[in-house]
Amino acid sequence: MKQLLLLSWLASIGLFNALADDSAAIADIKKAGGLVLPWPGAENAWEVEFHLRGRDLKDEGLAQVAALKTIASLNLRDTQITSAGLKHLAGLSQLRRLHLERTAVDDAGIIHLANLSQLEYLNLYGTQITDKALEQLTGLKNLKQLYVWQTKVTDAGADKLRKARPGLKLVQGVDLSKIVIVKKEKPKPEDSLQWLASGGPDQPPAKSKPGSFITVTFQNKRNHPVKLYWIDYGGGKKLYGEIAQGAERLQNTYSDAVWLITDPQDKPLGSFVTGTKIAIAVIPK
Amino acid sequence: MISLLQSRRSFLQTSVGLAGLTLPTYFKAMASTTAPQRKAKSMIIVYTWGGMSHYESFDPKPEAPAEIRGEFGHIKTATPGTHFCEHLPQLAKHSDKLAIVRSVHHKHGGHGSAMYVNMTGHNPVGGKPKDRKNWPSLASMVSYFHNPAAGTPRAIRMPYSMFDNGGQQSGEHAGWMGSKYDPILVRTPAGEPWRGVNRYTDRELNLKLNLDKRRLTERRNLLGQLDNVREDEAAYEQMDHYSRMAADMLLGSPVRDAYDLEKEDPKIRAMYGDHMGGQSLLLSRRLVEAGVPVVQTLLSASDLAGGSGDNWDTHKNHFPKMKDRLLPVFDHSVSAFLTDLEMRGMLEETLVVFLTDFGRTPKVNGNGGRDHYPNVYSLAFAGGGIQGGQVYGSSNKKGTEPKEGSCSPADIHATAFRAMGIDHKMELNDPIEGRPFMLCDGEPLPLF
Repeated sequence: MKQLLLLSWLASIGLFNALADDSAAIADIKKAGGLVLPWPGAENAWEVEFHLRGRDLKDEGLAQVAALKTIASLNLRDTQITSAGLKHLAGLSQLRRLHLERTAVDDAGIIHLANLSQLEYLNLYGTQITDKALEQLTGLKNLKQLYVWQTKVTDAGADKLRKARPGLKLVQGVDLSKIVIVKKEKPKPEDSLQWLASGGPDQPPAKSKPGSFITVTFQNKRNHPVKLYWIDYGGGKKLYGEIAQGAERLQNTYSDAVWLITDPQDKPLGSFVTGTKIAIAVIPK
Repeated sequence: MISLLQSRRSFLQTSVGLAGLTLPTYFKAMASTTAPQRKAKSMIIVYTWGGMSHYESFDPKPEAPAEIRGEFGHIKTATPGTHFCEHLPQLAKHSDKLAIVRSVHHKHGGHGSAMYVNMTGHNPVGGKPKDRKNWPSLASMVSYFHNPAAGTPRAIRMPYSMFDNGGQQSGEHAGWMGSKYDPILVRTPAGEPWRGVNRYTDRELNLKLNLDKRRLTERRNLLGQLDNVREDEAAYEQMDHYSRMAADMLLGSPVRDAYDLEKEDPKIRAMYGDHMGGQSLLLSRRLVEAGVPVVQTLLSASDLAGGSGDNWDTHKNHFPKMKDRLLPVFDHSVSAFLTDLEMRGMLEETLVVFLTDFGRTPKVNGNGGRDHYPNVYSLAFAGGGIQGGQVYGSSNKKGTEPKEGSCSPADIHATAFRAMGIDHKMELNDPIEGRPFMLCDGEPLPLF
């Protein structure tokens, strides 16, 4: 009997109906591809996402979504919605976070957000909005974060909003027109390493010493392939590869490194010792 | 080349012991009351393999004697009173997004065990890399609590596994959680490779998830093979978790588009830098954007090979290597990464965790290098509800031990779990013997 009384009391204050409405609305959202999660920290509040699984959501579908009045967070990134659809959101009085990035939304849609007094986070990057949209958002007193990268918002428009709303974090992002794509050029040799023929008068040190990073281009002018060994810091031989007859090899190394050239049967032919400059090393005929 | 079907079959043969495993239904997932109100939706781990020097990154010691201070100076950051190494000039401007922890320490002087303790938050148990008695990696554990859409992997790691002198190291797999939770390894398809020994001999990469133009034909054949498999539902179900995921990725999930870096704005690609480090971080962002909950990026060559090549194990030639090869890539690509996440409004929902093996020794050795030093080192967080512009803990004047806020890799993990809305003290049972394991025995740092 007590329980019955409680139930009727619940029904009388409308909570019961509200919950029943929610479950129908939630089912509809799920059917449309949306993900519905409980919003942490508040009773009977929801987080609704379309950006990963429901990207074909259109304006008509948005009317159905907005039937769930207790949405606290709504993610519509990458969906097919337009400004016209945003009129359905005007009644979501508990909305705190709204993702509209990378949709066709423009200034005409922003007017519908002007009364979302709880809104704290609004993402509009990659939309068609201009400074006019920012003016419409000035009145949202709870707005703390606003994202407008890759829109038509100007520096002047952004500064104006910043002045009007000093506590707001307005993120404009980087200006891509200022990024220059540089094609990496091959490093130009500034030095030519001396060939120290095996058995000749000048011989390299017994081991490499640590130095600074450089590159060396080995060119094989012999009439046969050669093997390339680095002599490590302990004097050991470390094979780096073979250079075909007439071919060249760009090698990363350090200054004060010893490189040994042998024939394919490992018979030493000669060596190079690197300097601090990017160099060319010609293996003579 | 081993054909895909062959390699899959051989895997199935070797994994029969694991095939029957399912996680018990009493594995209860969701967050506890101790979790913060809002939780991060995804996590990206950035790992500097080899052990990044704390002196030449986040904890310079300008007042220490020259033999400890080293060759580099220090610079101001956007955080008043906080200095970075002078060769992180771009990142210094983003310190407002970073929470630096300068007082981490552990007891493991070798790379393998140090990586294991940083990756799993627990001491090594002696298992080989894929041994199911190991502790799961942070990526595996966090991914366990996510259920992404079909065709979207729970966790992806790139571009290599971690090797030391040819041996793959333990700590990057799901251990006792089971192979279902092993992060999927992919190779970053662009950027100048890390110099040094880069191993990608894992079976997984036989699948050639590579968009290299020269491989297009090969790939088309592969797709054909997978299509055939798909037509046969039973055979498809037989495919192991990894192959199935890889197949889904190749056959039209949003993750496949994310993997194709050619689809990214060339200016954004340039912003990250034409290096595998930068392109890996770019790919991490794209994967998270496509709904992958956990991504792990190795920001280094894969095999330490005694410190040769582009890894952070700088026993020799420390200063030129840091200045010319390692810090520029780190500085440039991490700065671009944080900028990009921020301007898309993704940073506060994406937890970024920077991990490394250990710090480097105070005294510069005879080869101009610094050796392994687990007594104190620096790690960092960004995004995911963690407050930027702060430094937690400190090391002493010479950078030899923690001075304030001494903490462990387990505490770093507990912090990550908290940001992700996961109760770090939760007990899970291993699916083989049903033994209970508490995820993490650390305590979250007050960084929120």
